[in-house]
Amino acid sequence: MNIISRRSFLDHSAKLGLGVAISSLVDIPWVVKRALAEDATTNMLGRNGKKLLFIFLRGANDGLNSVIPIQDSLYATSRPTIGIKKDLNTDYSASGIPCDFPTGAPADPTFGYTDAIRLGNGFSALHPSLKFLAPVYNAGDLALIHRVGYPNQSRSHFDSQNYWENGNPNNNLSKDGIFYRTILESGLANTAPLTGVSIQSGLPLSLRGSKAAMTNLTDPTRYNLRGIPDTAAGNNKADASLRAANEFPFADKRNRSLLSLQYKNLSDTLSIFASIDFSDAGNTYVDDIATDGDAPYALFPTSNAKNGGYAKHANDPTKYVVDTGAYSFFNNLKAAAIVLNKTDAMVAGTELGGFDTHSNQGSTTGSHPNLQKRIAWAMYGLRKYFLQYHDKATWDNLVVVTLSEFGRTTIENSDKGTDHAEANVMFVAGGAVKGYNKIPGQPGLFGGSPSDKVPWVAGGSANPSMLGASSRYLKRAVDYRSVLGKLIRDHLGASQEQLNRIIPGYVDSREKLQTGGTSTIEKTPTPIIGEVPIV
Amino acid sequence: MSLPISRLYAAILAGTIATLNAQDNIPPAEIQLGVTNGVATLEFPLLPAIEQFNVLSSSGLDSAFQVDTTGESHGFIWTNYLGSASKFFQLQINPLSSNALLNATLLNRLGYGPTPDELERVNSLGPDAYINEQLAPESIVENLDIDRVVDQTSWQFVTATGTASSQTLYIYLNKVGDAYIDDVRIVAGTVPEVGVNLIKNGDFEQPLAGSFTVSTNLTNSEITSSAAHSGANSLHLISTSPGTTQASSVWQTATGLKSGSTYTLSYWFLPGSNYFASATVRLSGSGITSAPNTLGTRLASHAGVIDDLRAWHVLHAVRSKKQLLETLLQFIDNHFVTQVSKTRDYFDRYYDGSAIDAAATSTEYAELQRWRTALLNPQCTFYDLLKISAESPAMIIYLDTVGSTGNGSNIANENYARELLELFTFGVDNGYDQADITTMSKAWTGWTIRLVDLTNQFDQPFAPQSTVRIPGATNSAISNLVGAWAFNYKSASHNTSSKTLFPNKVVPARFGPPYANRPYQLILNNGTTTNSIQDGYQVLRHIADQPFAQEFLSVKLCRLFVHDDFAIGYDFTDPNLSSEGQLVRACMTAWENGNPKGQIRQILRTIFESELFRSHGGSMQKVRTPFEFTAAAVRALRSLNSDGTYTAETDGYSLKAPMARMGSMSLFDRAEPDGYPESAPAWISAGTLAERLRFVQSLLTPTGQAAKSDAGNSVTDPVRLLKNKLPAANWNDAIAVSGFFIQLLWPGEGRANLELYQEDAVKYLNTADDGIASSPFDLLANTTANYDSRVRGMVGMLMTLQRFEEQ
Repeated sequence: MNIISRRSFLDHSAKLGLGVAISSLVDIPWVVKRALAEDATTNMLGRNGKKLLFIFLRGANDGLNSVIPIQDSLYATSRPTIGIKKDLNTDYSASGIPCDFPTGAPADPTFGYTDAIRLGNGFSALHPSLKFLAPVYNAGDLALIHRVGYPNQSRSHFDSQNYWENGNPNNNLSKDGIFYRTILESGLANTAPLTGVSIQSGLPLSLRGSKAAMTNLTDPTRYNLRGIPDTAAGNNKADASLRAANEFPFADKRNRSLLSLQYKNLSDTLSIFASIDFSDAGNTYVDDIATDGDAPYALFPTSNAKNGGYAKHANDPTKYVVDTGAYSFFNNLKAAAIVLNKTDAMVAGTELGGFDTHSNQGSTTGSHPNLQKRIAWAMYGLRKYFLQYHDKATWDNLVVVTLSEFGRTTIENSDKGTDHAEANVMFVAGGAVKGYNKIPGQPGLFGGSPSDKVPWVAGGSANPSMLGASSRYLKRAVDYRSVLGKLIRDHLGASQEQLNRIIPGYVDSREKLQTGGTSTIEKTPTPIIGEVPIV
Repeated sequence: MSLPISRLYAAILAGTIATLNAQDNIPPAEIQLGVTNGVATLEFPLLPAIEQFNVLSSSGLDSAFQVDTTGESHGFIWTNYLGSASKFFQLQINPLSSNALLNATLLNRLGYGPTPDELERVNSLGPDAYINEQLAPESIVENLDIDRVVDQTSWQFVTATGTASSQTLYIYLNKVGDAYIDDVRIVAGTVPEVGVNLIKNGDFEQPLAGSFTVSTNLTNSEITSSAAHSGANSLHLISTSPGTTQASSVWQTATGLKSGSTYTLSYWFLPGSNYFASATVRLSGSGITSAPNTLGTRLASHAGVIDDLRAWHVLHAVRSKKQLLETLLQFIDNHFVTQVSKTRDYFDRYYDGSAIDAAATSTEYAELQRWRTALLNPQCTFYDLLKISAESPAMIIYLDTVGSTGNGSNIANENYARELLELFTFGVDNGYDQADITTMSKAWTGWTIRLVDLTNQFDQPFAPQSTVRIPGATNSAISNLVGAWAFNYKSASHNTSSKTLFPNKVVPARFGPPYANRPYQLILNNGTTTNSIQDGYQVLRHIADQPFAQEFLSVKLCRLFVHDDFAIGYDFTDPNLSSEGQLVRACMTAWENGNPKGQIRQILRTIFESELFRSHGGSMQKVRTPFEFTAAAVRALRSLNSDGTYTAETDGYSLKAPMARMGSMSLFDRAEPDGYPESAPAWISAGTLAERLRFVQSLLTPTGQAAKSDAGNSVTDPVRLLKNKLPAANWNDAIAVSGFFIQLLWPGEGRANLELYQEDAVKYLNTADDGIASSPFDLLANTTANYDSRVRGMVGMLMTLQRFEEQ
């Protein structure tokens, strides 16, 4: 027993008005227990079955080479070597049409197309490595949000990642995470056995907090303990001793309540994960259609054999849908998806690193395009997984959202790379997402076109384009908190009051997070759009 | 039920409690007394480092208090049946001695955790003598096997004993290059060079033809008189491609050899002009294999790969007496972080196969050894360490200065300039802004690398490319050249404009005197010649001792040695400055007042002599990183046996995978430039804890069992350890045995606070493997596998508990 943490746990349960007896109701989904335990009130957070999957793109994704302002003449001149060229046979000014889904040269039908992929809004394009976003986009299940940032943007990776994860820009004293607070507000923390889960090397700040344990798994296939001797009985003996000792009281020290929370979390969650097959062999999830005329591709490329059409074409690497370095990411992503689908966890996610492309980032091929293939296939694969294999999570009750600390300089440097800058792109996907034509006329891209509320002003003789307006730094037109806030309230079901506690910036009238306008806390302000209607 | 007790007296008799530090959030001692059905229950307070609780009682206030032996204690609960009687109680709390507390902190923080032998030594030496010893590592005498670098200019004797499984002897080189071999002998038995030599012409005094067969990759090899260990000649091996087997070796069938018999192979080895190449002389099959170079020699000769360097580094952490030096080297290497896989990507354009890894590893090894040399100088400063990092090819590649150009309209790469200020010197947003980064990035243009002659590896930034070809090489491609990768300056790539850094900036008021309001603008105007290299050096010299750097490095050192919760941004003029802020300030003062400024040892001494470090404010306040955890786990059970072996040992290599599993800690290969974190939340989650627990369980598992695979060649023998240290009469005493290990694992916690752990351990020892049936420990014969397994299980269980995560 950790006296301190047990006390706070009981306090917290009491505040939520949740009887301890609820935990004896087995075999009933937690969301239903919640409904049984409490009268329906104004909020549905934690009770509507809605879920969220996050992917943090660490290192700062070069969003200008993801969603490309291809009709802005300054794009090509800013990026003479890393920029993506127009297809001379394509009219990029055509609007109101679906995104192209081009097939490349016969030698590499999957990624042989190397020009900018027309998005169909008359202005923008996708990087060719993002080709597999097109089907998700055209289904209306993808929202692309450009020029996302926060006021007085930090260009430090670590500060900026902290701010994205703690939901409090320019505040390093805020030590708990935006998803942690969401789960705490739901009332599920400390009552449901599993609430927030990450699959990566350590628990990210977005899920950290002192009042409840979120769960991080480094390798779900190894998540079990052993004893000496390593027999079923010996393992039980060691486990029993461990559980007994973890109940012992102790004098407080820094980190002891953290250790207590996570040891208890370990004991509590071992059996939940033990019954789920996370192995590569168990990864039998395949597409329902055939890409490039092949047999259906595996949805989570976790080995060569599961990487596109590789195994079916005499081990031909041109049939890969992602690079071979992507397997550990897709193992983690698959596990996060399975956790959401097979348990009552409300939030799960992972991270993808390597985006700090200061040198030789590549144009149509190279390190940055390889990373983007992973993003695109992740969105494509998740959609197909939850459409076909849904259990406790469906594609309609899930949103997938990417985070990335900042964008990169509009002009490339002497190393054929880009340095730290400001605004960036977010990808949001899900059956409930209101993307391209989901409602007639609904755009799929927000913040990245001349028809936005805060328009993208393209370069020309008279205009300084958004790319050049502030030296090399693309300025914010949407705040990341307006995006996450919209999802937490309108998808996950938080009340506005709860959201105000989850994202404190919402109650600061100077910030204009909900309605948009000009922030008065920014030193050199530019107007922001406010919330965008993505769900 | 009404109570017969009228009053409770809880008196704390021991004065040491008063030293508890208010900043540690230690709650005030709270002693609970209750009486139910005539049973008095006393709840002891939860306090750090308590050795013993004594309950004293008396029948009345005017009677003397006596130790009460009629009650029963269970952890922090003490009960006593009173019936209808009444008693007055006093509680005597005996804390751990302050020396024992500090010694435990020293062994955990200055180094990689206590070993049984070091614990005894430091307890008899005393904490201050240990601090003084560790602050002067150049005075610590030590000859570790892993540090032995064989002289590359004289003949080395190499020998190996084993069982023959064939008759064929191979001699080959592992790389393109050359080397000399002489006096190859295989004799029966275990003593080298004694007995009949079964190899024909092993002294290479006759031509090779007739005794040896030469494969095509070694066809340039020859009998030579230019070097000989004995006689007039030796074999000069010259290899155009690496050898692996008979078809790529110089070989001979020794018909006198019998499979299954024991032989000893020996020979003399002299490196050639390409000292990257090492020879293998072995018998076919799994018989006798020998290679001349030690781990230390491989690394020193640039032939080691990154796993060699990792093993070498963690073996120092486990074995070296210079524990503080090793802790500092890891801190510095992690502070000035570089990423070997990025270096490998860079070198891929020049090399193939393991040569890529070897070249990348050589840059990591070189900077580590330069820092080691610097830290052995009593007056080593932060500037010295910073300069080594800036000149390291590993850093120049990692943060992209290697290809950054600023001449003409080229835009300099900002990566190094930003992290130099944010992560290596000033701390984020501490005294600089974006304009300073953009300006400074121009100063680093032209800082690139080149393969130079070995004599030009350091302090020769204008040296030409090496021209020495590896013998056997057919052209002068980079991969065929002998040399070392070094910092090299290309003035043609440099942005030669005049640069003003920190324009008109002054040190903020919060720093107080003597720093506040100091201007720290720096103008760089070094022209267009090679003298423009001074832009970079002037930046380093200028920023190294600024108050921002003093603050940030002091904060990081305090986080390393004291606890996680130090931050930049203190208002040093605040009269109510926290004790953390005061310690940072004291470090800065030591930095500022040194001559030269910024002497590492003066800063460290300030920390080690601070109340915050020496008291409960430091003790057990940190969580071990994966490196610290794995090294500490081996050390905890590592004691010298009478035969020169140890009760716990590791090959170093087998700690790599566990460290990676405990949160992707991969030494010398951190992707992000902030280095691996010191603070606990980054390392502690259910998944990483599972891996820590599994590692301990595997470490304690005997060799040969399937569960050993996680820890591999990291092995322990806790029974031998306890038999070395405990009298035989105690070997079957569950309390003595468990108490012995608990004292080894937590010398700073206090026995009373560990009583429940001990109850758990005793129960474990007295329970059968099924966890249920009683199986008294004193009935187990202490030479049996069952006894061994019981002790291993108990120690493993203790080391999986929460307290072992702490240091």
